[in-house]
This record gives sequence, C-alpha cells and structure tokens, in this order.
Amino acid sequence: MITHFDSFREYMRFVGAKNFWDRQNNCLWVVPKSRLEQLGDILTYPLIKPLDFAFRNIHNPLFITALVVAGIAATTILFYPATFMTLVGTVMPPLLSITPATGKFTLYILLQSTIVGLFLRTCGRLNPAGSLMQAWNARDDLGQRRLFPITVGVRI
Amino acid sequence: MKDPRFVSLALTILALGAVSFAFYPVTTLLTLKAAVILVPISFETAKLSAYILTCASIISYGLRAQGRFWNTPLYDAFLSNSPVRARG
Repeated sequence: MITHFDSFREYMRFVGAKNFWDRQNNCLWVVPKSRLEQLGDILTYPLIKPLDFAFRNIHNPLFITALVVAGIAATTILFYPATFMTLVGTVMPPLLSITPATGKFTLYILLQSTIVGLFLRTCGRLNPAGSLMQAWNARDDLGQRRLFPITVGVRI
Repeated sequence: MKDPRFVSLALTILALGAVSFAFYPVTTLLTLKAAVILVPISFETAKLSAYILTCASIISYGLRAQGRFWNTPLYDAFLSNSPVRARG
C-alpha cells in the first residue's frame, strides 16, 4: 500500500521528525527501528543532534551566554584573522596544519552525508510493511492521524 | 510518481547536486556536462522541448486565470467571505 500525505508540508514534517507521538495512547511512539532508519540516524547525528540540542536549550540563559561568546569569537576571527591565527599557532600548533580546503571538504562531506542519511531514514520509515507506516496511516474518528511528528528542537 | 519514496529520491538528488554546486561549482558543472554528452538527445531537441513546455505552461496559466475571472460564481465567492476564499 502506498502512503499518501495530505500535503508536502506534512511529508516534510514526517521526514524531519525526530520522534512520533502516539495520540491514541498519549505517549511516545517506541518501536524498533529498521536497519535503514538506524543507518540514517547515524549519518544525520553529527548535524541533527547539535541542532536539536541548540533549539531545545535556546531559552537557557547559560546557552544564550555561550552563543554570545561564540558570536564574539566569530566576529573577532572575521575582523582580525591574522591575530587569531597567531593565537591558534601559540595555543594549539597542530591546528595550523589544517588548510581551508580541508575544512571546506569536511563541511561538504558532513552536509552530503546528512542528506544521504535523511534519505535513508526516510526510506526506512516509508516501508509500507513497517509498523511505523501502518500506525501513520491509522486515523481516528475525526480523521486525525494516530501519530504526530515531533520536530527537531521540541521538548518532550 | 505518487510514491513518496520517489519524491524522497528526487529531493535527495537535488539537494546533493545543490550542495556540490555550492562547494565545488566548476567540478560539478564539468561532471554535469560530461553526463549530458552521454544522453542520446541533441542539445537543439532538448532546447525545443524546454521551449514548448515553457510556452505551454505560460499559455495554460493565462487561460486558467482568464477562465477563473470569467467564472462569475467563483469570482464572487472568492471576493466574499465564503468557504471558497477561506480554503484559498
């Protein structure tokens, strides 16, 4: 059976959901994930997990302070790159061996692996025979889906 | 085409291509050109197809818009506070 989504927005929420809330039992939907979904989770972890943490703690004063410090550091690097490199060379000399091309390539690989991970996770979730898909297709008397996607950054 | 997995695959390929182009534009374009050469369709044919498709889309949108303006019940309902307007 092919799963149909009511809208593209709903599809995107399904793809980006970190978990699902079971409306019927009023609890978190916990089922063993397929191997494809697990692999996708591993690949998306380096980017999605920090984002989730950041969004969940955005109201925390300590986190706001950390963001301010990071912002000041970024501005300092932007305005005084030579001074920053001298400081890095003094504090941690091995970091100087990292070229900008290496940093760019690392970021490129990180983004590409996250995209592939999202794809694999989605394919794992969209398995028509899977328990998640069957629960997703189930609706109550009001026409609401049984599962509600919990997006990244939402506190449970 | 209605299978969500097809949409996922298409979106993934698009995203991978966009990231590759953003990071390595020259390499990506060269790879794309090399791939296009392998497709057994001439450039002129592809250009004409794209031209016809674009023109047909523009004409269709124009005809549909004109048809909606001439559809008095629809137009009146859209201007009033009817459910048609609420649904967009």
